[in-house]
Amino acid sequence: MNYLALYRQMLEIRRTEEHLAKAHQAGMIPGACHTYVGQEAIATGVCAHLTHDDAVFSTHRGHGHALAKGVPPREVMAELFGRVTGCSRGRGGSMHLFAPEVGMMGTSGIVGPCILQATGAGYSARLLNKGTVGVAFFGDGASNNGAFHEGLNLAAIWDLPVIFVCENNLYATEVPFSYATRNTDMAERASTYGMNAVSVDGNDVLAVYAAAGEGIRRARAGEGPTFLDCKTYRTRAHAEGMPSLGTYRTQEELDAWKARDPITTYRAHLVSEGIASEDEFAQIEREVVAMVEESFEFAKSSPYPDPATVAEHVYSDG
Amino acid sequence: MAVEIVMPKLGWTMEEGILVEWIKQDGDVVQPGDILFTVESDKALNEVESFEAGILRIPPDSDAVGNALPVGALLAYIVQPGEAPPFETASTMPVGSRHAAPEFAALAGTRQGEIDLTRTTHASSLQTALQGDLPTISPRARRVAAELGVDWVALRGSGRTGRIVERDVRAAALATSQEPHPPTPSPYTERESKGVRSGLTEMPVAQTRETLIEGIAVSTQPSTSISLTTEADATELVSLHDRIQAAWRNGRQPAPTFDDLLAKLVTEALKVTPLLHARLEDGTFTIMNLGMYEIDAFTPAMSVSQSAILGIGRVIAKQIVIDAEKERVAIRQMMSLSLTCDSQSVDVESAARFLQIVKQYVEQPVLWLVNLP
Amino acid sequence: MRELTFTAAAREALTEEMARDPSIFVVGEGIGQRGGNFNTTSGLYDLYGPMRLRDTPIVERGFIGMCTGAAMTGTRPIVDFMFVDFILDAMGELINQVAKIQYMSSGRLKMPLILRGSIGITGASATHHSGSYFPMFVNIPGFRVVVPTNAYDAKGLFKTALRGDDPVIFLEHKSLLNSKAQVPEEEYFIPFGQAAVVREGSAATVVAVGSMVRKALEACDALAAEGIAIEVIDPRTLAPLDIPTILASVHKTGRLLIMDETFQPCGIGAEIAAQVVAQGFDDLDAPIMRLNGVYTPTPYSPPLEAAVIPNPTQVLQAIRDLLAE
Repeated sequence: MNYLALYRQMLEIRRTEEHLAKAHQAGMIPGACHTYVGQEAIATGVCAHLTHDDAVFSTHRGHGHALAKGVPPREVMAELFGRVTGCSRGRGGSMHLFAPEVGMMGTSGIVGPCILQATGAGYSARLLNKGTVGVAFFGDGASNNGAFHEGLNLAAIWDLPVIFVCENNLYATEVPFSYATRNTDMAERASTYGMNAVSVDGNDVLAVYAAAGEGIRRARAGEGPTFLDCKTYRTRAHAEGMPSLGTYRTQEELDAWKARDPITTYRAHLVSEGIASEDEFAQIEREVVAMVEESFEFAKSSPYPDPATVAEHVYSDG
Repeated sequence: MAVEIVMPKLGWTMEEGILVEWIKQDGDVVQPGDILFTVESDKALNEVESFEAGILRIPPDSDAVGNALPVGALLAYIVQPGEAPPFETASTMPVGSRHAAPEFAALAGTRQGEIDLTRTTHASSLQTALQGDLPTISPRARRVAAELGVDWVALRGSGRTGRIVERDVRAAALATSQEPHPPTPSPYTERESKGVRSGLTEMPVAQTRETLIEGIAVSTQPSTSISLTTEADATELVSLHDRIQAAWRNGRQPAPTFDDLLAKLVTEALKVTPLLHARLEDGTFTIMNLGMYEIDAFTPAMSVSQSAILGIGRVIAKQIVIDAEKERVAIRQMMSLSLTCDSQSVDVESAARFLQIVKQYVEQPVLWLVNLP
Repeated sequence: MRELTFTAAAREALTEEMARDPSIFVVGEGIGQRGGNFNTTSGLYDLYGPMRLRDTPIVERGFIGMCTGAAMTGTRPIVDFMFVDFILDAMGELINQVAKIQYMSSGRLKMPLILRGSIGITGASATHHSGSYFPMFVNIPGFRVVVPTNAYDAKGLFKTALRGDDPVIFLEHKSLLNSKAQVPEEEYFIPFGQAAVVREGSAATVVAVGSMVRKALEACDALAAEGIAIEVIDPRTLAPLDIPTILASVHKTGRLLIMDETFQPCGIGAEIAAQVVAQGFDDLDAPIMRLNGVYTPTPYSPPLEAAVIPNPTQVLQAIRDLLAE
């Protein structure tokens, strides 16, 4: 159990996202930017169990998943800046991060397909006896979409090695989950498809790590899919440039969740348990900040893609 | 190190915003998350948080409040205790004047500037082509007629609507020995009626359809004439000409020639140089193209009745430096332009400005095709 | 040489390729032990079992999305969709995901996903079992769209689809499934983007798609008796589309008619006509003509159904009209 690795991963996501938010304000990101701030414990706790052969499929809030799966921050930043050195070579931006070489099979601007595609990765794993798993990250907003029900059902009836990670951050864009469904108990809804479903504090990286570990163990052992209902909160706006409270959240609610910040609470926990010292955290902070700043400079100074390549890769032969 | 505070991008489409109010003032201590200022964009008021801890320093001469500023415009700095903001040290950039993302602006501009030349020229000229009273003929029959030297204008077509089709042309070719068909006069500029060489276009400045043919006076150039010479990159114009020729193969009248394009271009250039236009009001503007004689450049002679004459040299491919800094060269189609004017009616500055516009129009035909100055 | 039906030839291609490549699996409703509504997989379940012949619930978006993920992770799924009308539920998955994955991953992911099943107006199938819709797929960058019209082509094109890395929409017209043709025993492949000149002639060119190929050939038999030789071209794949073969024919004949059972607006005929006008204008001795099905949902009653698809009289008249232009 490498406690500091989890801390370092969460911090890398946080510092990268903060840089991206600043860059967006400065006009350096030509398109959208959905940050993962506040939800870092989930991608970190789940991906800590995965290898590059395990396939992750994600959604529009996917920077954290890409980073936790092993995409270097420089490639994420360069992608958002529209540079050829980005993980999608400038074809994707914030919502289309692809890095199959590390098992990041794509984030998506459409809510729902990741659930079906992770199910398909589970099918490949079973057919080819790979021992790998497919993982879908999605929000509460996806749970009312047909893809959610279709994907969970298929994975359940065929006992596929799939982990469905629902990041329930209470709002789909700005629509409260309590408005969008009569039954807000996500684990209960998933369990009706006959699969293992557990609820977990999504701001507690150790709790996520433990629950994901058990689900992935079951999946690799052929015991079928697991649904993780991770309760969390994004502390920045839905997308950069939008209001962080808007008409749908209160300052009190935001403050209460900020007080439960997954990184600071985890750090306090490790100190109080005597697992790590403030000196170690300071060292990690220095290293992460240096790496993220180097990534930022790399991304900023990278070239744009050559317009002559715009029609490449539509088909496999070119 | 001082951190720049800039006009933020709020939302996908924001390009500029109005700094409504500083919530923190010059010299205030700020923490991450503190509201620094408010911005109005798209009719919405937004609070902008600080990412940094430090001391806010707003330049004393800033006139940012209340003004629309582009995304990325520098508004202020956050400095650390004891640190001076850049505006109190050496020479600085004026606050509010800088754009943080010039590359995007440049890219967007390029895209907006693109105009479909084929469509523009084709639509305007098609009307002219349709005004003729010739029989209809299929493209294939027209091609075969050209191959066989058949004058199809007099043929009766056997197609459903009386259209001349291939079989009509072939039948005509078999039936008669062919008389050569005289070329159809160009409907775009009248010329060639009094022994004036092809390539010489004269037109009244007021742009009626009458053509004034004065002939060329030899050695009568007034002593007060001025001559200006420049070289233009005609690659785009040549390309436009080629595209028109390619697009015109179905036209019932001949496609506009390169000289037709030059005449049109000069007419448009005259429209946007009213000063020159007015001074030439009573005279004639002549275009002389000696390109077909492999003349690179020349100073055209003026007759007494002329006010100005534009000499066109041949179009020839040359190696041109297009970016000295990066040592980049390219092969471009170059053409010389020589303008001779009567200095009593035209001042040299107006003439130079006019020639510059002609050069720009040769280099970027889109400018006159869409009638933009 | 032996004769096989269209369905048997395509099934033979599938059987050969499944034996060769263990990463191929088929999903669909009733394609397991039942062997498929159109016998597309009969006998294969006993050979390859439930993991490779996967019966599904009725959830087209679900299993197409699932197969998208599978194709990204090392397997070659075949969606046997029975009727193309059924996969309209999955258009978001098809257009937003399947067609775009290779591009968005800058070629680092492949998308060897085949969607195969029936199209076409026949047999009082009514409006939810008669669609073709291939112009919609042709419009989307990323798809290969294959419309075989005989047993020989069905096998050779299906083999090519199963060896490629692009998503292929493989459309089998219901009226052709029992048609027979000679199919060699030895292995062969038909490349995409290669039209077949199925009849040579000089008076006019007819490009016929899907079920219209057979109808065009019948009309040409009648005209041949009058001494009129019509050239008939079967594009076989609509994406990629073999324009050079069509241009070469129009260069010879000067006249072009495109026959397609599907709707006319923005259809494959419009695309072919536009390309021929652009590249072969000086070869045209007459306007390019189209003959299409009626622009309406497909009705059930046999006389109504017959009225929406071009009949032999209309086909013959369309060619005569073209010759009279």
